[in-house]
Amino acid sequence: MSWDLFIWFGSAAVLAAAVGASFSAAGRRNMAVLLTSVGTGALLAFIIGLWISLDRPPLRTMGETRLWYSFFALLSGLFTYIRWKYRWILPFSAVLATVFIVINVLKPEIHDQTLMPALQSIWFIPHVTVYMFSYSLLGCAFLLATAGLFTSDADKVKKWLCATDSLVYIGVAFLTFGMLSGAIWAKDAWGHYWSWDPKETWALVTWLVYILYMHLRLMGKGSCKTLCLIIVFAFLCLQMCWWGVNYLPAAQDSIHVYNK
Amino acid sequence: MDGSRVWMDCTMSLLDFKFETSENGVPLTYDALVMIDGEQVDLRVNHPYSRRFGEDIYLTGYDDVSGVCILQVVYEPWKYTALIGIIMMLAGAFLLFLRGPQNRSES
Repeated sequence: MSWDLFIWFGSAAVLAAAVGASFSAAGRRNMAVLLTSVGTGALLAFIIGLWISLDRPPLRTMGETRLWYSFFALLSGLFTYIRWKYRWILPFSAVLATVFIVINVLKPEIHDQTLMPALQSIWFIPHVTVYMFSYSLLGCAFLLATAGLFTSDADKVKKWLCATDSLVYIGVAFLTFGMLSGAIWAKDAWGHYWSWDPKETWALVTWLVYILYMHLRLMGKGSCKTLCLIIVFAFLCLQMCWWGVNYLPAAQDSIHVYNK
Repeated sequence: MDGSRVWMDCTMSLLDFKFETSENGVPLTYDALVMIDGEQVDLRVNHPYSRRFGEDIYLTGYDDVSGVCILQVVYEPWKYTALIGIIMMLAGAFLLFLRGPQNRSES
C-alpha cells in the first residue's frame, strides 16, 4: 500500500459517503448508514494497509493526520446520525471528509518518514489518535453551531445546542486525555510536563474555550447566538493548534512541527 | 545550574554511544551506555534513569566530533504530586465522557 493508491480508496470513500449522504437527505436511514459505513471502511482499509507497509503507525506527517481526520469525520458523522438522527449531518461530514481527502490527493506525501527516536513511545499512538477523534467530534459540533447561526428557528437551535453539548463533552474528554497524555509523555521525553511549546499553548487555549462553553451551558447563561459563536471560535482555535502553529516563527524547532 | 558549574554527588562516565540512521539519513536511535556510580545504565530518549527519588537523568544530546554526550539532570520531587493531579484530571475527563451533559428540562 502506498500513497499512489490513495486516489482509489479516497474516491471510493467520497463516492460512498456522498451517495449515503443523499440517502440520508431523502430519509432512507438504512441505506445511508450502510453506504457511509462502506466509505468509512474504505479509508480504514487504506490506513491499515499503509500502517503495514510503512511498518510504523501512519501518524507522523500532516498528510497522515489528514487521513485519520477524514476517517474519523465519517465515523463521527455516522455516530451523530445514528444517535441523534439529524438528516443533514451526513452530507456535512461527507463534505468535511472530502475536503481532507482532496487535499491529500492534491498534496501527496512522497517522503518516507521513519519514526524518529523521540516518537518511539507507547504514548505516540494514543496521544495523536485521541486528538484526531476529538477534532472530528468537535468538527460536527462546529457544523451544528454554524447551522444554528444561519437559522431563525429558535427551537431547532436549542435542539442543536443540546446535541452540541454531548459532542463537546465527549470532545473535551478526549482533548483532555490528549493534552495530559502529552504531558506525561513530555516528562519522560525531555524532563518537564509542560514547556509552553506553541502547540501545547494553543491546545490549552482551545481546551479553555470549550470549557467556557460548557460552563455557560451549566449556568444556563448565554444567548443561543453567543453560544454558537463560541463554538465557532473554539473550532478556529482548534485549527490554529492543529496546523496554524506550523506557520509561527517560534514553532520552527518544535517537535510538533510535522514534516511535509 | 543557572549557568554556573555544579559538582554532582556521583561519578558518571560514558562507556559507549550508538547512533543509527536509516538509509535516507533520518535518525533511528540514539543510545548512550553510561556508568553512573558503578552501575551501567542505558540512556535513550523516552527512557530516563531515575537515580533517586525525584531525580532523573536524561540523554538530551551528543556531539560526535568531540565524542561528548549531553545529559540533563532534572531534580523535581514534586513531580509525583503533579502526576497525581494529572491522573485526577484524567479520571474527571473519563467521567465527562461517561456521564455527558445533565438533562435539562427544556431539552
